[in-house]
Amino acid sequence: MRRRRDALPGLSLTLSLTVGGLLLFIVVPLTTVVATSAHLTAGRFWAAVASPRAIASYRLSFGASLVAAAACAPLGLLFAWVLTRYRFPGRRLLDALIDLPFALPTAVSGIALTTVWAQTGWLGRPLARAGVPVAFTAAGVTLALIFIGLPFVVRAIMPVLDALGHEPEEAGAVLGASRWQTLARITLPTLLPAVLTGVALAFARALGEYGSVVFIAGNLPLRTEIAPLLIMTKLEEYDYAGATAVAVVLLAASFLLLLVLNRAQAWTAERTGMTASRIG
Amino acid sequence: MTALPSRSTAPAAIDIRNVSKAFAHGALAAVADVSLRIPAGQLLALLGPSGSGKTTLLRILAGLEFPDAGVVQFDGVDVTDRPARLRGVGFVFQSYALFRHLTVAENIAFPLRVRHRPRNEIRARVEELLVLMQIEGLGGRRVTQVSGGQAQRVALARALAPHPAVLLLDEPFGALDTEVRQELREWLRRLHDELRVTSVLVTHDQEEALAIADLVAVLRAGHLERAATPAEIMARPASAFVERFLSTTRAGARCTGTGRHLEIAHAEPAR
Amino acid sequence: MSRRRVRPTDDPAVVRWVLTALALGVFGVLVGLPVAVVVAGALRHGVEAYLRAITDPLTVDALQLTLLVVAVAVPVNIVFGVAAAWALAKFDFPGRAALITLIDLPFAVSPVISGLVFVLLFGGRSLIGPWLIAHGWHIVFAPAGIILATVFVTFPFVARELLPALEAAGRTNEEAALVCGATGWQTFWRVTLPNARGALLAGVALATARAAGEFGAVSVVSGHIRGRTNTLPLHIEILYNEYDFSGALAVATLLVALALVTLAIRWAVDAHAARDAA
Repeated sequence: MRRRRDALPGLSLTLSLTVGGLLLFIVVPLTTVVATSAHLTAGRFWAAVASPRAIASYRLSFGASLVAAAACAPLGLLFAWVLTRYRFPGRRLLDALIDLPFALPTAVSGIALTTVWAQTGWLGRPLARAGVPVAFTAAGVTLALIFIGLPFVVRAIMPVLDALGHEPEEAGAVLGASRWQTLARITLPTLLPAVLTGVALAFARALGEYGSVVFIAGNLPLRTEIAPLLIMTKLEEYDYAGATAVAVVLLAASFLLLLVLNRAQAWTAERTGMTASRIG
Repeated sequence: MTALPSRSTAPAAIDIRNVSKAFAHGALAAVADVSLRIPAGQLLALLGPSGSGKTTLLRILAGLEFPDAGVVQFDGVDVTDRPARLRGVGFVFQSYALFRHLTVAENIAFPLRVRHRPRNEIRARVEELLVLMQIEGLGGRRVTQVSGGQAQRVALARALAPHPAVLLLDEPFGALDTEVRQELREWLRRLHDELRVTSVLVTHDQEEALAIADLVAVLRAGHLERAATPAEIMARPASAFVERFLSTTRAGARCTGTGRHLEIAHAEPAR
Repeated sequence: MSRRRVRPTDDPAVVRWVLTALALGVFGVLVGLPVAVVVAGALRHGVEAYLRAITDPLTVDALQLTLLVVAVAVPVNIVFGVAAAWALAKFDFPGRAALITLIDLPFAVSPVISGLVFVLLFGGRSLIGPWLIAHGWHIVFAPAGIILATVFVTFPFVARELLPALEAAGRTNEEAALVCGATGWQTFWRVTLPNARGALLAGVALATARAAGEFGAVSVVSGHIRGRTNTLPLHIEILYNEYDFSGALAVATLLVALALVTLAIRWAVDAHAARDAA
């Protein structure tokens, strides 16, 4: 038997580059976080991870991210539906600009959002007068996270909605279902995995988000301090151990989410038959 | 390294000896112990139902797959391990695989460009092939702007451009409708008589194989069932499978002109 | 005129109007307004003040460091992304799916942690940090750290845009090039790359925008030494915290422009691909 070989060259070169790059720039640096936290005694680790200030920051980070990601679901459906199904002047422009929160540097988003929603801002002033302050509250954090998460949900739904086409709905109509029945029983269930994938992506992004949140959050310990900011604060106080401990918690959540996302994407592919073409 | 043929090359005789190839880590035998000799200048049709291993065998000849066991020789020279680009073969893909970012002329010139042939030689050869393929005037078009039949001719021209010793065609008429198929098939036969390049054509269409090939090799589940001239095969099928397989042709031939013909030919013969 | 017939999948005009207006309204308030406010705020004290803010020596210093970061991080990203896309799109091998997950990892990691890892790796309290510093190699609180953190956060961009494009193209084109006599390099440069140049361009644009605009990770490793380790986003933060709002917004318009150019490139690439497919 001969050694198996491939007519197409370049696998060993490109694979070495890929694995080498990943090890050097991603795996080794990330391992340091875990290695550093392993140097802490269990007591010190626990004290840093479970301090009231840390717990409050997780609650805000996870809570606001969850609410924001959930709010992105109906908004994402709205934008995806309007962009794929309707034709109106400016549609292509809106389609391109929907990615703006993703392309905009987070610091720019942060100060822009704050300028609009602060007590002195265009929208913040009337809202504050009405007794609903946005900036420097948990609501402000959530708002920034909706801003950041929206493109992820829209972009997860659009290709699926596009590929779905009109036929399943036409089939529903021909079979005697009303418009609502068709939407509720055919269209939405088909889109569901894509919506959930988008929501999970938005949640993952929101959980670690820093730049767009810190300006609008107010950053009061125990009240409006998100977990990434707590890491930053501890670093500035040279409390490397404390920063690392909180980072490990966030990292663990991110890894878990990544695994869930992989499953969700496989589910989307299964449900819609949309798989990236495999190598023949 | 072997010098690449660029000027007219004499057609090569192909020898396939005990070639085997399995996929999915040995579980699935695509080609099992096939031995076959194709004399220089002949046109051989590899015929079989889908999954019979005919395309795999063709790709082994091209150097796009490498056999697990066995030897491939061109004119007595072992080319089994020679990479595709050094084999001096022309290959026409089922989907044509024309380069979409290039024009018709640039596609035909590609094999000569990568061999760094002089510019005026390339221009002359491309002109010559455009005439030979009866697609003069299409040179400047994008390949997305030509019809299926024309794309087929461009693919053939590209394969022939460097004067290959061997021409390999994978279901060359598969994507065309019946009328264009018939016409191109006869034209290809005439072209082969003119060029006398050793050719191997993969098809699942028995009628097509019997109509244009000098030799027909029938494959079934990776095994070579029979290799002979069309006349011999029709006279003495030599195995129950070949007979059954060919009888579907006769049945299919009766409903030629409908799409059904193709489907019948595609299906495994009834047991 | 005959009675208007409505296809079963067409929403009634009222629904179309309401939903479209709602989408445009939400977008306007959530995204449009903040961007408009940046531009309005930047120009509040007139064009002259705007020009003064973006030509301020400290702004120019920050711009120079940002350009340096982009000039290093983006080429690294291209080399890695092209290699990864080739290996992952054209070949199947054990561990392929795990590698794709690993490439996505920086997307899932908080930017603050992306910066933290380099502080832990090269900082004064790390294993090799003191040795590096003793030999004059400053990484943390220096441009080198900013570049490393940026490479980390931008790592997936080119690979992620190229991979689907190369995968969708299959490998027939490459095989055709090989039997035409092309070498591996010729195949890559003359066939693979021209067919994927749109995706590559989009990936490069995204990586550039992110490299120039990264804030969290860079903020951790920079140490905010003015004129030495300030990139544009960090400079914006400092101006903002010093209550120089119009200055901060003026510098921000530079990055808004970069983001818009990025989206325009991506949009043009998509439109081109759609036209090709038709």
